[in-house]
Amino acid sequence: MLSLKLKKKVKPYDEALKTISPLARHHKEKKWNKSSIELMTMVSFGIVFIAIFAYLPMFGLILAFKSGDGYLNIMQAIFESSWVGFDNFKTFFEDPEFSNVMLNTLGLNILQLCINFPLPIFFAILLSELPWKKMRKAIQVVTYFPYFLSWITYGAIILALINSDGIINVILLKTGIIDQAINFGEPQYFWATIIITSLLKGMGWGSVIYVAAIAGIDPQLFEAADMDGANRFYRIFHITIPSIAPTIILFFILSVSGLLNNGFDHIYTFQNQINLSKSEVLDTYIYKYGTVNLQYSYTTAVGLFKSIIAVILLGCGNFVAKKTTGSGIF
Amino acid sequence: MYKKITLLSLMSLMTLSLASCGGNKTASYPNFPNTPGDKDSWEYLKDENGKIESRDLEWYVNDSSFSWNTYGNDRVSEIIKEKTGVNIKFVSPVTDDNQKLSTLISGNKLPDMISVQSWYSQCSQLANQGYLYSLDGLIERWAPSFKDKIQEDMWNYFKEGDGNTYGVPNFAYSTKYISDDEKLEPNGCLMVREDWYNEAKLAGYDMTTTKSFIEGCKYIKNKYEEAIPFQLDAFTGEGNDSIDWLAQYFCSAYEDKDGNYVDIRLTDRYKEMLGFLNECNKEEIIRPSNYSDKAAQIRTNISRGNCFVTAVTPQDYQAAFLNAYADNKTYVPLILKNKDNEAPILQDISGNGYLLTMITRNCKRPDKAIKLLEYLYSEEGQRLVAFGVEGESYTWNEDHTAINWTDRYISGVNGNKEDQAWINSLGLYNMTLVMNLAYINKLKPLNGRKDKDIYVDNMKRPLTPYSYNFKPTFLKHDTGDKSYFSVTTTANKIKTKWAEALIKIIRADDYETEYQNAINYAKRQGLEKVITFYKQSYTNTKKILGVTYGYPKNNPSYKEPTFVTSNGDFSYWRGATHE
Repeated sequence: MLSLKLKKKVKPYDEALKTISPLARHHKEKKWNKSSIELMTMVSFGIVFIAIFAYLPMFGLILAFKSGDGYLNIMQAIFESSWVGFDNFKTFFEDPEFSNVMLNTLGLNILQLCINFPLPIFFAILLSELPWKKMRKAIQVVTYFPYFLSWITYGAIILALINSDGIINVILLKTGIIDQAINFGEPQYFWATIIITSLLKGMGWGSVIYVAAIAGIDPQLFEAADMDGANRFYRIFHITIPSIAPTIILFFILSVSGLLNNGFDHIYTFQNQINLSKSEVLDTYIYKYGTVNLQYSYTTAVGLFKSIIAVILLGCGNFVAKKTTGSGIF
Repeated sequence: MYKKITLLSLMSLMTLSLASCGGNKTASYPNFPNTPGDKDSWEYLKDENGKIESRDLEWYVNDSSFSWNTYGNDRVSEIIKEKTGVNIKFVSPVTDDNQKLSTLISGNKLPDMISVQSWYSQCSQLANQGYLYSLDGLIERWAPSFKDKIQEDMWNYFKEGDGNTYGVPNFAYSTKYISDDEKLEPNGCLMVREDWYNEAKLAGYDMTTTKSFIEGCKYIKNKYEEAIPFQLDAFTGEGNDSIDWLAQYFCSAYEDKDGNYVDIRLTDRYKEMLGFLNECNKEEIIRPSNYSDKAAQIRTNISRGNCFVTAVTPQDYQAAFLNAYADNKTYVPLILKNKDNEAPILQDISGNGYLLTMITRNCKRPDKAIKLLEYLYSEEGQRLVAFGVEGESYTWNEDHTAINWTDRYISGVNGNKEDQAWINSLGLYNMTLVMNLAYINKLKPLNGRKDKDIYVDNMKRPLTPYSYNFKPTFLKHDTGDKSYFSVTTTANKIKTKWAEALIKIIRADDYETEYQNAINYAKRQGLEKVITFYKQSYTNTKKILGVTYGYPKNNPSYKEPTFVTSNGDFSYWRGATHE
């Protein structure tokens, strides 16, 4: 039955093959020639890499269904611990922290999606519209630079600037805007700190792909628009944005799938004991219980839950993109 | 066919990769010749020509602050290599969150030797799950002379369920060097800036009661714009050291009258202390940034001399206190009493150690590692790492009971540049991993000390009459018990949440409700189960220590110390007089 189904599926492809180029037919007919072996050799490195670093560790997912907490060695935890079904998931869902952690994870990411996703696009468009090439280059260098600093270094600089005796408070106090130093470590400032620092550090680098996409637009389109009397805004809305739309959609779908990823080092750098109510996200939660306290099974369950949600979000993002713009990634 | 080959290759790859991550549970020893016990084991390392085979050993230290930058270029490391033939490669983590240690353990990548905080459950787990060599086994084979040097009480304390000891602690105060009734300085205490305190006293605030303390802090706050009235230590996921010290000031007893373990968080005195901190917060003598500041920021505050009262652990901020001292801002201890005017019961500096050094089963030459450990553990090794080489930097007195710095050393201390450079090239006090402070502090030469050394050495000593041995609180758990891991997990979870709750309680409008919420949460998580387990551990610990009462006040011989000054008794200063 299965083979019949397969045959049925293959037929239209073979028929379609007849209509395409003779070179493609040649590749279909002669499976193994010198060039295909070369190509296979090249791709095999990638396959081995993915097999080792992406698929092999997936074996460890069985820990989510075992009682591996308390073992020091992961392999012993995998092979020697007993099966516990969905107990680890249940423990996570029943944890009083669960709702807060999920709320922070989703809240911060949705904010980032709404603010930090469109701004690099806007920035890239602004850059491309700059008439002075040298200035454009200078701005690009200045905005790219913070990306190359680690969050630990960059975070330490920001923390020094925003602490009670830091320059931000000094300026605000001296100018009379505030009469008492603000403690930016308080929970109410946490999300804003994350969004702003993320923008400051990543906006320049995040715009690179869009700058490249804009550079790839056929200049004749702009020339034609100019001849038709289109002003700058018309050009942006009717040529630039539609031309880079596929890139935007691709990154939008990928961003939606990463809604449960917060960038551990970023959050961890700015986290302290008083802002935990706003700063504890899935990544930091997993780190604390898994890496530090060696609760392998419990945190594998949390990690697996996170991955399942990410796959669902990826599907939803793709579906919405297809429905609204007619294109998606699969 | 291709599919089969690919599938087989992938499976083989997976099997090989998984196998390479496996642990080592077999308890065998390598087949090196045994060492006789008629002289120190490291003496047997020399061959017929007096040469010692060189060997690299990797040593992981689970403390980000550990560094020995001059290793390989200083006199101490040179002598260690000369005596043992070992060239040590130290590795330490960037942060103190246990991540590096966990990664090394889970991937079975532990190096030859490791030094881990002695109270971490991983120490026992590593021993029980076959990652470590038993020191008794190694000593039996390759370092029989080690037996004469063992500090029995510490050795017994760190014995695991199988009767073997797997590690030696540093900074432990063994009864071999300090008798149980010997008075030592406190571990942590309140320190107050002396000049400002004198002003507060003149204004009528001696600050020994909670009310007077708050008023005194407010007085200084209003008088000096830059003043940080009350500086607490950094709030971390583990809690806050200042709160631990304050709980002792308020006499939060960890043992009931019958000698049973008590969780101090459930005591009225602890609650009273939290109420006091809540009041301090309401009166704004604790700065809001204190709750989010990290240790580095607190260090800066102390260095500037802006803190009026600190409740930090002074030795952890020694450099900061010295910076303030250099700017003529000196600190003295302060006595604070609870509402019943009871004298503080403070934990003294003695304990069962900080880092436990262990030899892992990944060590290819445990025979050399144990000899190195014996040398560092020996009194000869201790003198080397603290005072340098006999005849070069120190000399014994005639009856071999005390040592003195040499003229050259004193010349360096007094500012002779050439000799100063020579002192720096000695590399003293870097190798702290097996350091026996009980021995070193007793032997420490008193000649050549500068004012700042005398100041640092005596900072906490005036509170010596209020300090007691808290060794029973270093619980010895039965790690073989089936419920051990679940109890530890629950206790960690409660501890993490409690650390968070502390801030909420201190900053709450109604601290009693917040406190009750935190207690209720702990109870829901299984606090009773933890207490029951700890009760048993407490009884076991007391049995090992051979004591009936763990809490000083429960001891029938306890007598409240005589009140001398609100800063303690300055006659306890060592080798100098406080002016």
